[in-house]
Amino acid sequence: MTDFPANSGSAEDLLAKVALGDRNAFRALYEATSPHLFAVALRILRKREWAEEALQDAYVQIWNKAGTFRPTAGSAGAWMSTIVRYRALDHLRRKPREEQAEEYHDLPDTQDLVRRLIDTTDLQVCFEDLTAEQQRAVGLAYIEGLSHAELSDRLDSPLGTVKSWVRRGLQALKECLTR
Amino acid sequence: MKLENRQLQDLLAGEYVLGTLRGPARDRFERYLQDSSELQQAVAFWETALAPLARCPAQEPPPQLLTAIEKRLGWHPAPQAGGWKLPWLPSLAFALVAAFSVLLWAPWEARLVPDFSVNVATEDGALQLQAAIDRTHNWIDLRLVSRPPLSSDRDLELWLLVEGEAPVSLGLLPEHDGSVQRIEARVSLARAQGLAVTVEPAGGSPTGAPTTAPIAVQLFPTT
Repeated sequence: MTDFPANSGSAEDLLAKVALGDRNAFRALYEATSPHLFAVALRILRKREWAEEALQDAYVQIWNKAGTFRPTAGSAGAWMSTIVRYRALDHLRRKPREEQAEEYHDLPDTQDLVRRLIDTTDLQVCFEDLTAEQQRAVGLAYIEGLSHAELSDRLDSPLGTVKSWVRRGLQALKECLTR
Repeated sequence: MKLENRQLQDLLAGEYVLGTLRGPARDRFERYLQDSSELQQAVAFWETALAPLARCPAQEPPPQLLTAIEKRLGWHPAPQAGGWKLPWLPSLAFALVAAFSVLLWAPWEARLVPDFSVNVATEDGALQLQAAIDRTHNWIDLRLVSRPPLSSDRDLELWLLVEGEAPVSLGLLPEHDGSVQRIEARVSLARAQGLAVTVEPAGGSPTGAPTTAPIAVQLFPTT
């Protein structure tokens, strides 16, 4: 006979309950995850108002799609941050970033961030296979949602060069992660 | 855009997840994505692989955002439009809306909102089952997340643990991961203490009682 397992409140558990229509679990999930997801949206959209809209879109989708989450395919946090990124990118599609529209200046440097956050995952090991330029290009594109043209501006390098950093960076990651 | 080439597929999927695939190319990719399981796999690979990059310092969203989300999900009645000319009309209207809200909204709430949910799982996680318990209607909504592999002459049976009584069978668990089903309990869920799963001969316990010790047990929260 097994012990009685504790009914823990991990994001995975909460998401499972959300899939069954449990509104209180949804509220608990929101409380636990929204500061993180809001930060993800804010880094891409840089306007609080837009990030709030993207966050709303994301949680509506999380409520509707919770049943499609598969714990075997990754963490609940990864699944949800993927959703919020897509909603933020959709937002950029509808309302391209205006020049100088940034309300949000106190961001820590993305490159520092990339270094700090890839410390405990497979990605760290593999990220080391990339050149510094490739790391910067892939990291900035992911975290800030920058297009090739924006990367080219930010990294002060020709468009073709930047595209190749992204492409080769992805190829190196793929090779390393599937080795 | 030729998508037969595997390397090109991986690359496009990577740029799609990264966000550097933009404009018409992104729209086109999303159309291909709908029908191609290979592309879906490639996208899933990158979503998982790159997700650690999304870990950035938290930022609190404004406090009213959750309410806005709940409104969009239809959990709150829509606010009434303004523009009243008579001073007493708003309060009358409010009273009417409130009365109708109670009439229309309350049964709907009760139907959809379970009292609580529990997860029933083995320690290794091979069996994972979510159950939402609705005491008002005396039913349990089940979702099977995963089940352990079993030989063909065995089935998994779900039991309701009732205070001071023998476990009551709730039937066999579905065969397929992801299945959802509603079970109407034959005994009052108000007296139920938890759920358990046992491995039984194919078709379920021949005796009507568990023939083996449970592989997973989950007690209900005490109210």
